[in-house]
Amino acid sequence: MNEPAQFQAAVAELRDRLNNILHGKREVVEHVLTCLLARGHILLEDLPGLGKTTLARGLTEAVGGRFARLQCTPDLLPNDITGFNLFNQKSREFEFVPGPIFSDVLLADEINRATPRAQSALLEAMAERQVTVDNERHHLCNEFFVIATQNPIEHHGTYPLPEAQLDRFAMKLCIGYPAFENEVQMLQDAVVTDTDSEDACAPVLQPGDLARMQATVAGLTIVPKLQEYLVQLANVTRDDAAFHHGLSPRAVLMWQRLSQARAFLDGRSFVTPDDIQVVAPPLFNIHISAAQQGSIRTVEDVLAKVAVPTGIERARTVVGKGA
Amino acid sequence: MLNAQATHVWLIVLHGGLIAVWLASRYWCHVSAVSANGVRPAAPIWAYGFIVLVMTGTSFIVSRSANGVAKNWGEWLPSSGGSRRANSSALLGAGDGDWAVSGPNARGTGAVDSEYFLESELSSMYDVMTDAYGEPIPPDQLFRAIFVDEEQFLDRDGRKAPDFGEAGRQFSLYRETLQNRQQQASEDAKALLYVEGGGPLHLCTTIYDSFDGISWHEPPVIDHRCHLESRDPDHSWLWLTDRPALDCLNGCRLHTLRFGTLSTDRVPLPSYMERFRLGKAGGANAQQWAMETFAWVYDGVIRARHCLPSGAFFEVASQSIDESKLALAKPAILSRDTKGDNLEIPKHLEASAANLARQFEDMPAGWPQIQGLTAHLRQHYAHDRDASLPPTCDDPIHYLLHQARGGPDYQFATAAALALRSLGYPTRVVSGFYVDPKKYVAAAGYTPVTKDDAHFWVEVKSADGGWVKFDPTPGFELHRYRPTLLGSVLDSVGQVWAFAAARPVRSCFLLAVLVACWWRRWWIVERCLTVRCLLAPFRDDQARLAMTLRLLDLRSRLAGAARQPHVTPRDWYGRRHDAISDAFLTQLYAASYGNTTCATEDHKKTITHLCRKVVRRLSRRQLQRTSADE
Repeated sequence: MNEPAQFQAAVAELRDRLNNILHGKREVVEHVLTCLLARGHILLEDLPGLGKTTLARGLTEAVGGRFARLQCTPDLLPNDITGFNLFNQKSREFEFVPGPIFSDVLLADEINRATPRAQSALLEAMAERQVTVDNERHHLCNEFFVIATQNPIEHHGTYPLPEAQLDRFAMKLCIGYPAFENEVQMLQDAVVTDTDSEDACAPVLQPGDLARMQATVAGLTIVPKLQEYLVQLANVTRDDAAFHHGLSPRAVLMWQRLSQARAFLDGRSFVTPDDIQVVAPPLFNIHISAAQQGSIRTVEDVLAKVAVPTGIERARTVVGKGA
Repeated sequence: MLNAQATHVWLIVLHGGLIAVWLASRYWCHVSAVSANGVRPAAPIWAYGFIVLVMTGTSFIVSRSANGVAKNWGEWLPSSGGSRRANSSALLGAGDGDWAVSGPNARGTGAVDSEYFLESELSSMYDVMTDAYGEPIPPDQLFRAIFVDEEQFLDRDGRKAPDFGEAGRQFSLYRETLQNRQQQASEDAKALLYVEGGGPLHLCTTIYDSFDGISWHEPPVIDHRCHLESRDPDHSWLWLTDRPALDCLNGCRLHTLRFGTLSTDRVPLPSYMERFRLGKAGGANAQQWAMETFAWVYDGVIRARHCLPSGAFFEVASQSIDESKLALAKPAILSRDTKGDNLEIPKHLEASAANLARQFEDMPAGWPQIQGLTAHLRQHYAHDRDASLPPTCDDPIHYLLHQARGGPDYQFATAAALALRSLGYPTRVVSGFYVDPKKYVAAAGYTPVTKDDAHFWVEVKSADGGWVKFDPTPGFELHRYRPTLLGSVLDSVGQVWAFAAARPVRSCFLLAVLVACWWRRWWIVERCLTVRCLLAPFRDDQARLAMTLRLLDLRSRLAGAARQPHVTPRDWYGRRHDAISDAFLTQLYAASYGNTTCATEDHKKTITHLCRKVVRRLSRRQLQRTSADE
């Protein structure tokens, strides 16, 4: 099995690249990398021009995959996303023309402007990593990763994502405005020479590296006490009347995987309670339906109700199939 | 002045009266009654007054005296006898008039001076014992080849025939075997007594204090009036005040004895009875009536001047022996004596008795010796009610222990009593009835006592003049006092207090030390844990890391900045205190949540060094300072 330490150089380089693209947003970058390694999808909710697209494009370039952008509008059709069968006059046969979803990183911009019909086309792709066109299944690549964005201020003519679709995302992040010095740095970086920009576009990872990293993440150790801790936290959200509905088992599974990814980013081969707690806010943002959804207060309230297991764990089991 | 019960009644009735008035007034407020001239009529004050009058009148009648219901409403309530006020002879028929109404004992029926209940005046338990154990063999049929002193010899030789005048006042060990035991056992319906209440219970009827080698003899009759005292308001319970108070008694058990076919003037009563009451004996003159009726035959046995009729109820409250007290006060309660009453052993039995007693000489004096003897007899020998001593046998102890290895209860009692006399304890043999819990009839709620329940046991004299009973016969249990939880706690507190009061200076010093220790308990625990972490060896690295974390948590709590249970150690210590090295937390986490264990000596040394460093540098004062800065 691959150890997280083997990938630390690549992870550090990846992290640096993204931090150079998005100045002063280290925590956002960490969450994005966590989500990428956990094979989850991200929903970015922020104002226009704060770097959502830049982040997605930079991530694609660093990972070395294909990037596709989908500008969601009310007239977007499912076939515009998945692709369609085109009749080839020469061969007298239908040929499948893949849509933008057949990429490694898909940026679905302003996803809440697409109609529910178009949104649901993304459902199967995000959950199953496959699409069905004319009763024919087409598999997406294993590293398929969706970064969806939505604009929080303009609600006119939007279709809010239903709970079922929200559950397919692993996290919801807000980038926010950069700090003063970071913004100055950003302006300085904008004055670049041609040679600089070419170097910046070279991918960090070799082909297949991301798949190996994701497999390693899935095999990291999490002791039963921490799994019980996760379920206890989930039960708090389910039993508390303040929440409209609590965490689903799928969300708990994703929480565990995100914790493993966070441990991987720290170079550890085991999950700690800190990993679980640090990924909780972006996870709660999307999986908890409450009056004050995703507020820091909500997360703290839930975490405060369950004691952290600190005892020395003797019986250990390795979770995941291993790499 | 109102007693507590009357006060309660008054309060309840007052409450009810107020509610009645309130309800009536509310009702009147909502009644839209308007008279012919359009004026709303005034509230009917007279109706309120009537309600209050009825309620207060009722409460007055009910609470005027303790059994006021019976006194005042006697004719209004159903009872078989009616009230005495209407007809002075109303109670003589069934006797449950006032009692049935007032409720303390609805079945009360007692001994009365009525001819209707008078039966033959048999003065002894002779018939019962004969039926239970068989006829005694007359002395002239006993062949004895032993040495007896001249006086005894002449006395026995002079008796040409059994002296039936004394027959009821002695019990011979030599008896004929009973032939019709089975038939008697089937006649439980004609029980002598019916006992309600928990068993086992020993009911004493006869006491034998001297043994001549053949028979046990009763002490001289004193026929002394019982000193009785009524202490409760309704004069139903009568307390025995002229009995020696035994220190080793405890608890209080209630039993109800209903007389069946037992015809005797002896009242079978528990050995440690403290009070009793008879159904009809209640009332202001109960004490005088009972003192005229009951008398001590001798110490421990009461007789009634008239036969207690079949169906009479006798409620008794008795105490039980508390063995813990006996075991505590070893020599004080049960003391040996070399001369005095109840110590004689027939000369030809001295050797056998001493032989049996020798096994227990080395045991601590007092109750342990008696327990040892009892346990020995109960473990190694069998109870056989139908066995009897052969007329040719001259040593009942030797026969019981070495030949038959068992026998009837009177042989066990004889052997135990004589062996203890040989050790110097004054003893006596007691006969009466054993209320066997195995015979309890659940459907009827009582235990029948038949002639087969006649039983012998032993009592040993205590220093305070009382007698401590024990039962050496296998299969017969003595009721032991089982203290309640509260009682045990209070006893323990009392013992500690007595211990402390005897040593005031040392106790005060110890108390001060204990208070100081309690005041600084967490400081002490923290010091102990620190020493443990720094000096003591640990089972493995994981135990050392866990203990170090526990110590840090304790110090944080003492410093007023306790780590909350939901906060991780890294979040709490790693970000607040530089002294906590990141390496320590990494090792702690690896041990707690990791999947690899490194058992090399270097690794062990590293962890030991890290833990000690953390324990030294992150002191309570340091934590306090950090907490204050925050």
